[in-house]
Amino acid sequence: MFGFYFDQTLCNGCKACQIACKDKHDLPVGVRWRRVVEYSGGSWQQDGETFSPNIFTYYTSVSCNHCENPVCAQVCPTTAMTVRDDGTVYVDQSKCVGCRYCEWACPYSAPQFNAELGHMTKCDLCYDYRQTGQDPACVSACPSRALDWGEMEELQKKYPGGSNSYAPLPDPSITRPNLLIHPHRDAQSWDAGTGHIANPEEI
Amino acid sequence: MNASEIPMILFTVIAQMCVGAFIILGIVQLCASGKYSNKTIDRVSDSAVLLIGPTLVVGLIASMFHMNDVFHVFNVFRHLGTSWLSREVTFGVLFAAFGFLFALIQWFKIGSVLLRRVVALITAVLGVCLVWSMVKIYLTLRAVPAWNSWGTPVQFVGTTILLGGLLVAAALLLVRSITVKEEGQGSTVEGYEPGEGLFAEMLIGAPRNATSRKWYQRVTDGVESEEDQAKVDQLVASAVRCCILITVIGAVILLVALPFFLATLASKGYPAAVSAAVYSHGSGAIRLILLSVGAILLAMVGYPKATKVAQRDTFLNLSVFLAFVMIFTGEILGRFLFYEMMVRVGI
Repeated sequence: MFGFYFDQTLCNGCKACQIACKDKHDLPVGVRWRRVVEYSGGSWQQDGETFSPNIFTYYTSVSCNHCENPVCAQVCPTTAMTVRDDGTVYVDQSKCVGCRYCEWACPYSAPQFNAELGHMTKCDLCYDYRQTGQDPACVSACPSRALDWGEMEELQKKYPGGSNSYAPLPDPSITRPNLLIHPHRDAQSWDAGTGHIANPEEI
Repeated sequence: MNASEIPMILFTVIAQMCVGAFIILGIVQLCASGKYSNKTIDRVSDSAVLLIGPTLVVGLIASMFHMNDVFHVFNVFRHLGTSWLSREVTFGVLFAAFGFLFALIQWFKIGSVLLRRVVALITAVLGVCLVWSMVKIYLTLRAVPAWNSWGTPVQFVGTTILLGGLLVAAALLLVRSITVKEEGQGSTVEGYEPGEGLFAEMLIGAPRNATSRKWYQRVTDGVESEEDQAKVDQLVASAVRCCILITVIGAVILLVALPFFLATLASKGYPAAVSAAVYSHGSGAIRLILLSVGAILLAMVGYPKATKVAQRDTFLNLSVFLAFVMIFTGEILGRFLFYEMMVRVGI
């Protein structure tokens, strides 16, 4: 099973991964297969008569997680949402009817509607690049080397102590995403409800 | 408002109304079968059956506009194994097909009564499957808390019962008001004044040409005596009252359940609370008011007046048609709000 690795401690929110993806796949305005989410929160900490701010903010770069439980493929009425043998999920453009049901089902906003095509589109983990031995465009583009990809078992060995259950990601039991995140020091659990997405218009 | 949701709003509300009407009409027929002759029952229900068909066609056509690539439309049957959307489309098509088959054999009296009843039963079961697969489409989405809850079956089944009962009541009264008027004028064919009701003309067929004359005779045909006529009136009256009762009970259940559902959502925090807040705007209040006023109108005016349909009772007709318009508009608005409640967890 292929998946992505992302290091929250290295990301500075530059969005080079997002732009590299858009460029590589020639995506129209509004379609972003990879997005960088800014998660912020905090409160005041009282120490005697003194109130001091206790705040956090961190970035998470997310595309499709090529989930073990791919709900998008299950709900698709046409079987256009296809799972490859390596576990990656792609949209068969010859079958998609553009009903957008997968869009509702995915809690990561991975399947996105392309109005020019009238079909759904999504990250295929750069299938063509992988065939020629290259890394996915987003992984190559990251200036701080926060992204990696590969077989999940190998990634887990390479980066021990990661998880896929940090906010703002949803409950991982919904889709069991093939995503490994090295947490920021302030990373919140998915169900903590302590913060909010600070850049909703960007994702 | 998102215009891409209009096809789904129309399709789900209309299809649910048709399923409800078909089943409630079937229940009315079953209840009547002990007390009335088959001829009387057929006379009362045949025209209502024919009203459901075209209504469903409007809904199915609307659903086609939901596809962004209609050239791939036949692919939607490919994933029956796991996709409730595939199942919904399949049950929708089957319900329509069996509904038309039933309308055909019922109208031309093809086959035995038993055969027609079996076809009607299959149609009703397919209708239940259709509504249930619609419910499952939304109910199974764990990413959308407002849909992944008991509120979805309550709203969808609520619409099915409310509008189903009301469509049957309205159809029976429409047919009745026209035939009574004709008889009152002493002539069944020549006495019709063209232009008196265009809608009525279309539905029941003002006897302008051979086809509509045949249709018209169908509805008034076979009434040999005043005794027969009295039986028909009696059946229409009790059927209309039964339908009004079903609709009012459905409305009360929905009016109790909706605020409770919204309160539950609001207490769950983000993103369920964002979904619940959809109802806090004016449209939420209008939807609840339309449903309440419609139900009150039916309970206070329609139900007591429905005892005597032999005389053309303007108050009865007016209250039922007005309630239909109000509750139908309310349900369309409610479905619009239902889609507005699509707020996902995660990102």
